[in-house]
This record gives sequence, C-alpha cells and structure tokens, in this order.
Amino acid sequence: MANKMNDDISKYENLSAMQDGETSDAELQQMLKQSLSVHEKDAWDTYHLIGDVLRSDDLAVKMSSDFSQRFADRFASEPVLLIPEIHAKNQEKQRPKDKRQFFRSYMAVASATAAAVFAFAFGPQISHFGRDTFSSQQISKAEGAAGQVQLVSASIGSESGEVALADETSRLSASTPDSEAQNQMDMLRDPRIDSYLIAHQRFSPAISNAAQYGSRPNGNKSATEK
Amino acid sequence: MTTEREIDQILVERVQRGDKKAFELLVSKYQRKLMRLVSRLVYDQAEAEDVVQEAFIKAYRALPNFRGDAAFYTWLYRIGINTAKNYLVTQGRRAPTSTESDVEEAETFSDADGLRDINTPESLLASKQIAATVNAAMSALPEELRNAITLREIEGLSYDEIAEVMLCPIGTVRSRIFRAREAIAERLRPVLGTTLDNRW
Repeated sequence: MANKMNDDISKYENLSAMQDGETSDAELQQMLKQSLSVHEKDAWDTYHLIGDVLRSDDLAVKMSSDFSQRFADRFASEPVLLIPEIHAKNQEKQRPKDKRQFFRSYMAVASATAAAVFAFAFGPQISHFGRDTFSSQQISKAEGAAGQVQLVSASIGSESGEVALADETSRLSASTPDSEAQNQMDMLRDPRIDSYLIAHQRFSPAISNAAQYGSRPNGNKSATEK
Repeated sequence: MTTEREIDQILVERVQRGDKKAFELLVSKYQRKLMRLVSRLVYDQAEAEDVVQEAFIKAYRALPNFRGDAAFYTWLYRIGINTAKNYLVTQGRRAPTSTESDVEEAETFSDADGLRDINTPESLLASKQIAATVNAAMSALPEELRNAITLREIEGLSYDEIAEVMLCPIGTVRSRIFRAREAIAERLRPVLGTTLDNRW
C-alpha cells in the first residue's frame, strides 16, 4: 500500500516536471506510452490552471507610479563603479593574440604619457602622499555625493591594471553628455603609481616639448635657435 | 542574435566600467519581476517596493564581485529573496504563512465589497474565486515552496536556474515545485469540484 502510494506520488511528480519540460527523455517516453488516468488528467489540468492563474492579471503586481523616480533619487547618491581589472580582461578577450604584444607596448607608452600628465597636473599633491600614508592595497573611495567615483581593484599596479586605469581616466575626462558632472568630480589615483610617475617623467609631452627649446647634445640647434 | 542573457551581461559590464545608466536599464527591466517575487514575502506594497529598491542598491554595490558565472537575473533574484527575508527579520516577522484573513478572503469572496450588486457573468466570478483561492494557498505555503513555484510559474526560470537562486539541488527544486502544486491543488478542490481527493 505504501509502495503504491509512493509510486503514485512519483508519477504525479513526473507529471509536474513534464509540465515544466524538465523530465528526462526516458521518463518522458515512459509517460507518453501510458495513457493518463482520470486522476492524472485532473492533476495535469489543475497544475496548468495554477500556472495560468499565477500569471494572470488577477494576481498581477502593481507598482506605484513614482517607483522609478524614487529609485533614481536614491541611486543618484551611489558612486560610479570602476573595475579596471574586468575592463582590461574584456579588452584582452576582444583583441586577437598576435596583436596583443604590440598593443601592450603601445599602451605602455600611452599609459606612461598619461601618467606623466597626472604628475604635472597634480605634481604638488604627490609630495604630500607618502608610502606610509596609504597601505599598498588602499582603494581610493569617494562616498556620498553624486558624480564621485569608486575605484575597485585589488591589483592596480600590474601593467594591464594601469592601462585600464589610464584608459578609464582618459575616457572619463573626454567630452560626453555627462562631462559637466564628471569634470566636477575629484580625480582619484592609486598612490602606488607615484614611483612609476617619477620614474617615467621623461615620457611626458610637457618635458619633451620643453626639451625642444633647449640645446641638443649632438650640437644640433633647436627650432628656436635657428 | 544576442540572447537576453548576453544583453544583461553587456549591461553589467558597462556598469562595471562606470556607466550608471546601464544599471538603470537593468532596474527598469527587472523591477516588476523582482516585485512579484518580493511581494510573495512582503505583503504590504509600499514595504515591498522599499525592499525591491534596497535589493537593487545591494546588487549595484555587489556588482564588483559579479563575475558572470551565473545569469544576472538568478543572482538578482537571490539578492531579492535574501533582502526580503532580512527585512522581515528586522521587522520581527517571519515570512508569511497562512493567515485567517487570507482563508476568509477565498471562502467568502462572493461577499467581497463591490461584487454583491454587480451583475457579473458566472464564469468571471468563478475565475475571481479561483484566483483568490490560489492567492490564499500561495500565502499558506512554506517559504521555500512558495519561492520555488513563483520562480518557475511567474518568472519562468528553469529548474537549473531555480537551483542557482535557491542554492539547492535540482532534485529539491523539482520536489518543491511538485509539493507546492499539490498543496494549491488541494485548496482548489472544493472550488473546482474535481476528483483529485480520490487519488489515494
């Protein structure tokens, strides 16, 4: 008696799964071979009725007309997310293998140039921040006000991380419909970049431009001296 | 052709690169679906909307940890359910089961305001009564069964996806959905007048 009941329960459970398209091929074939009893047909009909009712307008969920506006107001205070590692990984996936080496070299130079721009734009600030001010895993985080940026990364400092950071920085500073808001946000950077900036100052366009107006080691005159 | 899941992933990656508007698109897409799910745990509409908003904010803050191994919506639904549960705990409430008012609503639906004097077709009244019965039966279900059948019938998730949301084996999902259907069917018997109760 108990076995029969268990078999029946299993049969109805299979019916339920069959409704959802979640039976194995073997189970499906077995069930289709047998014609449904009256009770099984009732169960099949009722299970479908339950689904139809749950999806019907009678039980439709209503939302207040100002839900979107209320959420927008609340969401405005959340910082913008920047995840350079993920961005760099996505960029890696999109490029063919044989161009990656060239791309890395090119972006290394471009990132060094951008980093040098940082150094000259925020040079006085660099001296105020030392290694003992931030831990090596410090994440600069702006909280609260709209338009601020949250950098999220545990490994900025690898080449791909710096590339993505530089890329993101230049993207953010480019003219966009939201550039007014973005221009008002504080520029954040990882303090581990300081030693890199100082080591690569010579790649700065400001320095290279200034060097054109100085004397050249091989005796060639600069443009202004001609 | 880009699948819906791929579109979600594209939007998620845009959010992770600093595009907040991409997240607003995801909110518009899933707000009603999440509301349907949450409203089965938090009955008050205003409170349910607050929970939904809180769930979206939590999802946004957790996006740096989202790697795309699971579909965005299964991940979001999990956050939604957990947020609703936490809300109920902080309110000193458990997830709702049966209430006297729910049972009464189903059994005395013909006395509901606005219907007594309305000359509605019998079939329309019957469908309203069935809807009220199903609604009451859903409220009476244990939380795990209610979540499972909601994710299946209303959100249209596969058993695999439901297992991801509920963090349980697929066999458990299959069993919960079946038991939920059986429990609701049992309440429908008097309304439908079927012979389901003579099965065993």
